[in-house]
Amino acid sequence: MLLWISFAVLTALVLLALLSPLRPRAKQADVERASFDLAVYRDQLSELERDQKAGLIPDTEADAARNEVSRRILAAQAELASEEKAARPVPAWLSIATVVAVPLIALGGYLQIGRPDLPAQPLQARIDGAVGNQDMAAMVRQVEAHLEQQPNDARGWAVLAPVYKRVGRYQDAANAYRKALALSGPDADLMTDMGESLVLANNGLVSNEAQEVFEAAQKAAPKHMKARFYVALAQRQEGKTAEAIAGWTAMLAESAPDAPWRTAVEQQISSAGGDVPKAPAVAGGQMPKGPALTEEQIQQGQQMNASDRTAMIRSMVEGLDERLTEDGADIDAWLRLIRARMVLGEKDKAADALNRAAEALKDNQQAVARLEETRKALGL
Amino acid sequence: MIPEIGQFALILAFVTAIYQFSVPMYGAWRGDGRLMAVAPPAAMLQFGLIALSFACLTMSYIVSDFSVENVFQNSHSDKPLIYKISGVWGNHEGSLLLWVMVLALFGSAVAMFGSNLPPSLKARVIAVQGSISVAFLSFILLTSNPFNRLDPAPIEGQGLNPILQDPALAIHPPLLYCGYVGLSIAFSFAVAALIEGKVDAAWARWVRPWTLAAWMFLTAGIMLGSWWAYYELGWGGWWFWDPVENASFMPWLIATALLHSAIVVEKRNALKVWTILLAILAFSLSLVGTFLVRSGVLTSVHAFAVDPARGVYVLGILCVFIGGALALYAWRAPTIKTGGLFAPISREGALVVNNLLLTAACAAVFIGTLYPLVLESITGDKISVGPPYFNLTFGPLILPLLLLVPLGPMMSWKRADMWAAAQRLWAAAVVALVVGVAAMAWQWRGPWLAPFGVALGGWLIAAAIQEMLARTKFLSVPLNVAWARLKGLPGAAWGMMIAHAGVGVMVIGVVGITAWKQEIVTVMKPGEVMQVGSRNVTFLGESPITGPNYTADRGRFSISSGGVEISEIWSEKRVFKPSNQPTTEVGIEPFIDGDLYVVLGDRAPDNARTVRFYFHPLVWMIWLGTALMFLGGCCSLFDRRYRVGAPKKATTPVVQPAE
Amino acid sequence: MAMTRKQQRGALIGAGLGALGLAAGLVLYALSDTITFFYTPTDVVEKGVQPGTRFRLGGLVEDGSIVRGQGKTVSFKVTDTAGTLPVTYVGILPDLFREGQGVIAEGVLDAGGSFKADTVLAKHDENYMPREVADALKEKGVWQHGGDAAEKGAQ
Repeated sequence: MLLWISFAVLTALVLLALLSPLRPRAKQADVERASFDLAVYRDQLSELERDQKAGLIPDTEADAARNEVSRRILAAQAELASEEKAARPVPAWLSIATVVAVPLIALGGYLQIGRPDLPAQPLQARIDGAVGNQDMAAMVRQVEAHLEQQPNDARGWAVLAPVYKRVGRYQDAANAYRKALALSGPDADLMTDMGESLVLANNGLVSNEAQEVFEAAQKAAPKHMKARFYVALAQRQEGKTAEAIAGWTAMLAESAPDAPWRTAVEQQISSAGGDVPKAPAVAGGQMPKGPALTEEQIQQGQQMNASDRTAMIRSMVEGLDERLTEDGADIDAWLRLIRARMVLGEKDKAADALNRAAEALKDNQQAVARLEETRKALGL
Repeated sequence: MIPEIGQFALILAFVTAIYQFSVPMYGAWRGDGRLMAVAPPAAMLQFGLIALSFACLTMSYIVSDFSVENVFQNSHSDKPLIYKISGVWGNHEGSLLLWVMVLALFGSAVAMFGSNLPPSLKARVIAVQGSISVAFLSFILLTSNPFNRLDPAPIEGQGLNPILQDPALAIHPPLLYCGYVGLSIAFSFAVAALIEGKVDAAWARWVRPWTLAAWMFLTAGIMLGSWWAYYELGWGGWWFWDPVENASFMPWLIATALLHSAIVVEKRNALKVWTILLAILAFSLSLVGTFLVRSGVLTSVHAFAVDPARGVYVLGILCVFIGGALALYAWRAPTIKTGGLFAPISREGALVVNNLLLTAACAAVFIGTLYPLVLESITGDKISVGPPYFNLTFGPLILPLLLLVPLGPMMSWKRADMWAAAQRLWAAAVVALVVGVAAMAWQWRGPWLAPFGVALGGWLIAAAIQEMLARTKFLSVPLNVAWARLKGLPGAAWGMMIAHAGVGVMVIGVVGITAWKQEIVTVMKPGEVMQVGSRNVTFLGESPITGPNYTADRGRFSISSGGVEISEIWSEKRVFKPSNQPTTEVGIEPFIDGDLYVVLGDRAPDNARTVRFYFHPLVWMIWLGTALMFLGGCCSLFDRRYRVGAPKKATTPVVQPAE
Repeated sequence: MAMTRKQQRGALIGAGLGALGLAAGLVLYALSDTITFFYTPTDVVEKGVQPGTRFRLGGLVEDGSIVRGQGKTVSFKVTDTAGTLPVTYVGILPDLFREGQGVIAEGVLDAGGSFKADTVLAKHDENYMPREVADALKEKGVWQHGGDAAEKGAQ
């Protein structure tokens, strides 16, 4: 309520400020333009006088300048005589339009982008409001202090690591998992979580180290879904798309219809250009999030920019397409385009590009062979 | 509630800006005094609303309200308070909010202090200013809203880039924006004058203080940016010809030209069409700079947020304003009456040369900055244009200008005697020669051009002092009379002399660091000694340090000269907690002959460290020189002739015709 | 020395063209002489870059390739996943120089096929990847799966 009252007060103040000069009796600026010019020119004259008196400019120069300024003054005076003043009433529609439009646009715009339902949540308030003393920062510091004393407490590291991950300290999280692993021996869950932290710390790229960890985890527990997911992701990033899709498809086959990772896996398959196997019907409710996306923050960030990102990729691809239409001699660029079309899910356009490439490069044996290879690999 | 009030105030500011643009413009066209009178309150109101919005965002930063996405992404509860606050504008959204706030601030400054402006001109200036606000407020609301919310709120923020946690950087963007955005006033005056079809000596006097203020802020902003790069980036340079630096330097060059050409319009009613063009160009280059930085089309050492969708929007704004202003210019400029005549050898002629060289230099910088982008979009080749290009183009264009600077003030208006003017400068020439020879004696090893450069700086300083002495008739009148004359000099004269001397001081600093810089990279064990310049530096060893939000290894060094220990300095390798990001703090010990600069490098075997030493001769003169330029601007701004009041309605004009 | 309006305008235009010509000449000369090209390791092979050419090399620092401890000299390998080029550098590497991260090195290719860098730039903050590097990696398909932050930084 207080919020809406503040909005109303603000809007009223704005209307007051904007409309007050339009009152019929408001003082209006009506001094003629030329009299302002005159004020300046007169000052120029007195400035000349001063400078001359002080000997800053020679007399001849001062006289010439005075002549010029005087001419300007005469011109301005002539203008002053010819200027006419017209005081007209303010059109009534203007005030009415203002009173209607200002609150309307402001409120309309606000309802589009504002979140009136969401109170401010300063850190202190959130700490105070948290049930059962869940102050993460304090907890982290406590555990950190404890581990400084007893660095060999495997359980301590295992507790701390997910907290680090939750607050976005991915590198710290990975290090904590590493310590926990070193102390407690191999454990598929810990290894996968460590790998995931490394991936998050590395902006989503699966580094060699992370890949090794995932592979070790999968070796220890061949059915570990999260580990398998990331192993496939690593393959995808290495360019082994077919293996990656196979891995994910196998995962789906072994998953329950409402498995939390299903959406994420399906997304990966389709973005890699594979066919998503039909999922058995899910009994009600929302799709839970996939393993890579458990962090709400990341999830939100991705949704927010997903459309922007796609638009950007698309514009790049279109640019490439145009360039190749003009000059189609570059086989690598063609392959890139075809792959990009597949990633965007535009199978038809990919096939079309493939045909155009074959046409443009028909004299190049080697290129045609590579195109055929690609056609087979992508199933076009 | 606070973030939502900020959001609402921002939208109201947008609506106000639309009003501020449309109603006074319509009123000025109708010649309706009441509608024109709407402009000042609207401009002040718009500023008030944006300031309220900015305060709300700042408050959210102070209390670490991570339900605001912008705060979550750029702050952290562990951060020191001052960096929580500077974090507000250390990111894309917040810095844009600051941008429009400064824009509105300048608009409301015209509303408040522009009482000497004719109402129609004032109304149009404020209206044009309002149109810029409309464009950028819509940009913020549609693509870069700082008040986007997160629900549920994350527990901890993602911190601020530690390289941005620095006092100089905290005030650098606001100052740079004041300059960048301040040039919008010159732009608005130019566009308003074009709409009115009236450009005259009076207009030039009204526009000059605003241009001067913007120029001063831009000067200070660029200096602080350069100073930051010097001691924070640890690369031992003060200017890198980085595109982001160029983006602020190009408007500065044009604004400098504008300052000088506006004098000609004011005094002689000439060069009017050219001055209008400069005013449009100066702000256009500010917009280009904003586009380059905000769209992320650059590869740059200054990394801020970057996003292509936003780039397209800014590009649109750019086209509308630059294209619109230039079209208006092409349409209206031919109708502006030509003014006073002058001979090529005259004060006006000298100022024309100044303008041509500054503009040509700006064009060279412009091409060097944009060529890689154009080439890449056409051929796909990626190239970089570095300092060699700029040294080869900018240098030869700016050198003759510097040589000629002392001559200009010696010439009279309309027509002058170049030989007489040069003769009056013989004393300055002698000083320059002595300074050059002294420089050669002090540092005979450097390139042969260096003493020449120092002599050039001496020439500029000596000529400025000589000018001052000549104006006070020092030595030819009694001392107390000379003193009285000195105090009576107009502010503008002081401003010019101080600023020109500042250029000279800066030139010497630039020559010093460019020609005589010493750089040593070495591996040192604790206890080892290295000679840097004329001093010895001993590596004392390193120790771990814990700061408020980082841990660090601090390497300590002691400096001694002639066997006597002078001081101790340190350089740190820091690791910041929230992001685990490493940074290096350099150690700098300033001496009168230059800075000793130490950078701690990586660990080497046996407790050793790679260490980089620089000796930067005379670098302080660069900062002093720019500070003097700023001071000169101040003096000029307080010249009494900018305080002409508004005319009273009842006065009957009387003219005393000249003989 | 009195001038008519026409003469004055002529003199102004002449001076303007002179300044413009001088600037254009300098710019053209400088552009032909001082620019540096950007290549990835693959480009270096494909375009047959000659030893002695000065250029900027961009890519990722290959995992496990950094060799320190030869005094001031550091050597590492730059890769764009398709090609790899060894680099040597004398001096202090930037703070954010890490394995697996983007890097740009400026220098000269020597006769032995390794790159002698005199400047090394690493990404400047957590979200920043040198633009050329990001583009090059995207073309190679390595970058598709970057997290959101990386995508933002790369553009």
